Amino acid sequence: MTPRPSPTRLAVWFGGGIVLLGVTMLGALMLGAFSISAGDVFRWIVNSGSDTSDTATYRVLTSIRLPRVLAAAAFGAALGSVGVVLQGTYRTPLADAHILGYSSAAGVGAALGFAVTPVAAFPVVPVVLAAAAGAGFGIAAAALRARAGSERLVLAGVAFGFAMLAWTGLFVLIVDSPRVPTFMFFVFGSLGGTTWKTLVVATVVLVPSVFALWRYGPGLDLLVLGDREARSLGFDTRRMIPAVVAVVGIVVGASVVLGGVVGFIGLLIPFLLRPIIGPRHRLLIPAAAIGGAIAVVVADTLARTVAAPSEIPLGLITAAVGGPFLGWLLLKRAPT
Amino acid sequence: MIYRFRFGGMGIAAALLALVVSGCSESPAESPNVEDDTFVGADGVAIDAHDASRIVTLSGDLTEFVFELGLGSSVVATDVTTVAPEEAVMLPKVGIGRFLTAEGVLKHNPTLVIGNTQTAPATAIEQIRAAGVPVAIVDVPTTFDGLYEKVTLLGILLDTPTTAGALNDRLQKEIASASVGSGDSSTTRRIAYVYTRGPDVMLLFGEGMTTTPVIEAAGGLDAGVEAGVEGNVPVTPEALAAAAPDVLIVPEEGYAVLGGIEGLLAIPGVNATPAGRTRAVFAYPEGDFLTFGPRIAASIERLVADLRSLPAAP
Repeated sequence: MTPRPSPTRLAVWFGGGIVLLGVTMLGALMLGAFSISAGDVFRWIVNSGSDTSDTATYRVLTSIRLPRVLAAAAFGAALGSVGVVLQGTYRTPLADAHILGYSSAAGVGAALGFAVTPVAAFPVVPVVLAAAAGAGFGIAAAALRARAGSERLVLAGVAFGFAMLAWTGLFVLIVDSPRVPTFMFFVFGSLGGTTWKTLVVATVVLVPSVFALWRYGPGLDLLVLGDREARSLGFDTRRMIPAVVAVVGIVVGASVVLGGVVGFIGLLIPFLLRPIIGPRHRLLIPAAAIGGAIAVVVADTLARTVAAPSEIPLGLITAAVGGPFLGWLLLKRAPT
Repeated sequence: MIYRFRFGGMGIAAALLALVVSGCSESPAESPNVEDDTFVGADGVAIDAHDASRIVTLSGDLTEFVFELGLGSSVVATDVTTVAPEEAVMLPKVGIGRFLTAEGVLKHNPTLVIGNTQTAPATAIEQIRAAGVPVAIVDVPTTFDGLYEKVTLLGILLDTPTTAGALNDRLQKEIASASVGSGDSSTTRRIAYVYTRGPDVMLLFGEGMTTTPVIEAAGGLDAGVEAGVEGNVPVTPEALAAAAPDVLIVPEEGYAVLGGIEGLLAIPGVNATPAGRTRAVFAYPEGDFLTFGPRIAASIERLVADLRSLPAAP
């Protein structure tokens, strides 16, 4: 087991993480196809958009780039924290919303919801349907968890995930509506379509759900010991696990509407942070949220600047960079 | 549709594909209002009292029409499907109208963005509008009447109704003189338009595509329409056999990628068609034949001339 880090060290890590997140978000505001200088951003912050709010620069900043950078942070925070929780619940570092099929399940719901919602409307229906699909998938997985070991459950999740992705693809092709994002969105994600409306609806769901997951922290700590051990210590795992994964499904649902299906963040960030933060979920969940937010803000900035004025799908960046990085970490670290 | 699997920003290939989709757009919720003085787009969004000093066009035909309507000097950027006029080709490109990014358009500080019902994604249009820039959306016509309506509507949008009226008169005259009359059977062949970008993408065009009126104006029969194709279908040996075209029209760009006539004949089913056996294949630039732009009469003339140069039908 990793030794428990001292409170001072933790405070430094968390403080540093929050500062780094702030710096990356500021940097992300300045970068993009439309040229906005650091001075513009600082003037805008100082003036709070009062006297300068009507120029093209400030309109792009406030109506496109700010919601997008905030969405990247919220999206990354959701992916990171959900990764930690799933790894605790499934008791394997291989667990992640993407690998286990949660994202694809939520994607089916999101695609159905998009098909019936006008583009300019608040995406309430997509979020509700995606969250319902994600939560339903989680509850079904929890019901099977008692019978199957975590290894078989991971494999089953992969299988269901692929099937769900295929159904999403068929649906997108058949509906062929400008309201429904392209199939790429459900495979490699994108934050390109972010508006304030999407961000608001997703955040209203994400914030309380991630907080709820955080509240389950002590239970998740005990679950690492095994279901029976956790139960003997007073935690009703039969009730807790379905509740936890249902909330995970809701978080994944809201995040899929925001940025589509993006892999690796939920695997990589917890793996990176466990040795630093230690095994306690009450610390790991916020740490992974901050780490995930930083990672996605950076990845999304690359996605929209590398090939400007066109964009590269977000998931291509996270997989292209995250994949080899995770592989290197896995091989470098001695088996535990 | 196949193109939905391709993602944006990966260059010209996707741009060329963007031209394919004439028949695939959803029918607009409201038909554009061409009577009134206010521009009402195909998406129902009205645009009033705007400033047309900096225009971004999101489709090649729209670029050409804006130039024809005398506002060429106001165009500050176009999408990559713009192939004419020469001044427009030199302008900065915002990427591809089918795979738009809001910032890619807004960086040119436009006061007016003109797209069509194929401009996507819808969220990018939404974002540009949220940034305070009006986006005019026009229909993608698949008949000559629709073409004239589009010109009238652009005239209202750009506040040049008289020029638009004169342009329509000219187009009408040019199209009438280029077209082959019903008494003339010298060009009556079964003609199929096959869109290709290379061996991976081969689509047979049918009902509701921009190619049908051009083929019919030249006196031909659209073999895709006759075979019951709606929109476009991936080319299969069966689909080609059913269409049994005497003549194939292909985009010049994709034809070159295939490796000319030999490459085309190597596609299963092609050499079983009358067109394949007699090697009656015409390759035209996409920007000339696929878009319903102001140079449409020239495309008809060229097709008529090529059809007349064929050996007499057996």
